[in-house]
Amino acid sequence: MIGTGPEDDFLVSPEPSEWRVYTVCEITREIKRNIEEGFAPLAVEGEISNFKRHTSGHLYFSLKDAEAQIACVLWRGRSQNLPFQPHDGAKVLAFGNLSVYERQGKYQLDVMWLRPIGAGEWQLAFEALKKKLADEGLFDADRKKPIPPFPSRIGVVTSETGAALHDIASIIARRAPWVQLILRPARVQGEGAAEDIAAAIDEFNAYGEADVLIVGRGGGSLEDLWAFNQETVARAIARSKIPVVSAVGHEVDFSISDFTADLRAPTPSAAAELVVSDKAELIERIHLLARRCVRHLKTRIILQSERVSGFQKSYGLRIPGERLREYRQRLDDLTRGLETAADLRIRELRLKSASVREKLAALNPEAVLLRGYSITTRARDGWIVTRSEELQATDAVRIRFASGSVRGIVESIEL
Amino acid sequence: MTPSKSKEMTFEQAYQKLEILVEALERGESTLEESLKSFEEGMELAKFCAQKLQDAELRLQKLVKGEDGSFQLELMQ
Repeated sequence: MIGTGPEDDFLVSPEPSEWRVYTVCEITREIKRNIEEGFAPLAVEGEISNFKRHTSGHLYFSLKDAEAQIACVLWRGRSQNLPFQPHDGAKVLAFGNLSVYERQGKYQLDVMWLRPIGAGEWQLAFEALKKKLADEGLFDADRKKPIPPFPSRIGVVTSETGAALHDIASIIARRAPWVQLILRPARVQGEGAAEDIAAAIDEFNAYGEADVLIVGRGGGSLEDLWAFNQETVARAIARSKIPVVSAVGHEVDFSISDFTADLRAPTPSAAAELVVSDKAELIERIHLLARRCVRHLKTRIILQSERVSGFQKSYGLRIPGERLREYRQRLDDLTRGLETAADLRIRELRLKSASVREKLAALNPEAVLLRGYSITTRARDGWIVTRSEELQATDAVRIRFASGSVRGIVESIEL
Repeated sequence: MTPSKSKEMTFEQAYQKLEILVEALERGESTLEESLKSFEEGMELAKFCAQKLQDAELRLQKLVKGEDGSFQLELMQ
């Protein structure tokens, strides 16, 4: 132990020469060494009292329970990263190291991080920050940036090992595999999580290549999700030039990051679904556009050819007619090209709707007629007949072939 | 539009180009020859887009900040 002496003679013979004599400084150093080396970093649970914020920014307070108290100090650099505003009476868990302040001969807890215990404290902190940021206008609708319709690079800020990354990646792989998914791994709970998340958002902005960011994590306790309720994260989201989708935990809980983000998703999976379009849907849209192209050009050529055949009748002009035949030829070639492309297409579309081949064929009645089909119309109203029950015996009909047509009378109906 | 040219485009660019092209085509302000060119380009774009969707495989990468502040992407499993 500290100091040695002849115990037997302790009371009778306090002879200074036989004692080890310390200066105050020496003994304090010895105590300091014993305390600081004798305890590993520890967590202390207690209630804050005598809370003082020094003008220097350092925080001084005591932690107490019914029987004892311990002095605590929290240096300015760390006090800025706290998940809540400490105050007298708050029940907290303080993480830190025991140290000795030699000048006052005082031992104290050098607090690295502090967090409240009990839902009440968390709730108070949440409401206070929410109000503060709302008053600043951070949640205003006109601050919200639109989410791009077809992001090709999606940045993700979450834990590298969590379920959230897995959920996001598997949904995007299914719905939009052309997307480049870029993870900036971040701690999402515990000490330093909020700072790491904020740094990740800033880094994506410095990197500049992501079209949208998904920031979040899977569900957990209020405490686990707390980083997303901290000002540091809210501010990083607010200053991000890249649109941010907040995706924290379970469906029901809102976090401060949800309010600050440009879009709130109830879960990481939902965020992935909100951000990318569905592959099958997109393919359908592409083919619709292609069909509009074909339809337009066909109409155009038919109109032009009618105008030209009118000319031909009046003036006997032949050259435009030949050019038009060329156009038709090219159109047929191109349309066939499209059918080949259609063959390459993904199975989903075939399952989802009638094949594009059929649709293209429908757009190209001449091609059908050339294969030996014909079109029958009712003479009295021009109705295109698709079922025999649309006709009666003795009805006049017109039958159109690939080349020319005939008129006739229905003899009998076969259903 | 040549296929090599369209390969440099992203899906997003090609899709938006196709949309604009079809709308312009349908407004019908161009000559037949121009329409035919647009049509050909539209077919190329549609094929390119469909192909892009079909070929795609999700790439998952990690953003790594170097000591000099520059960024690199590392492929993840």
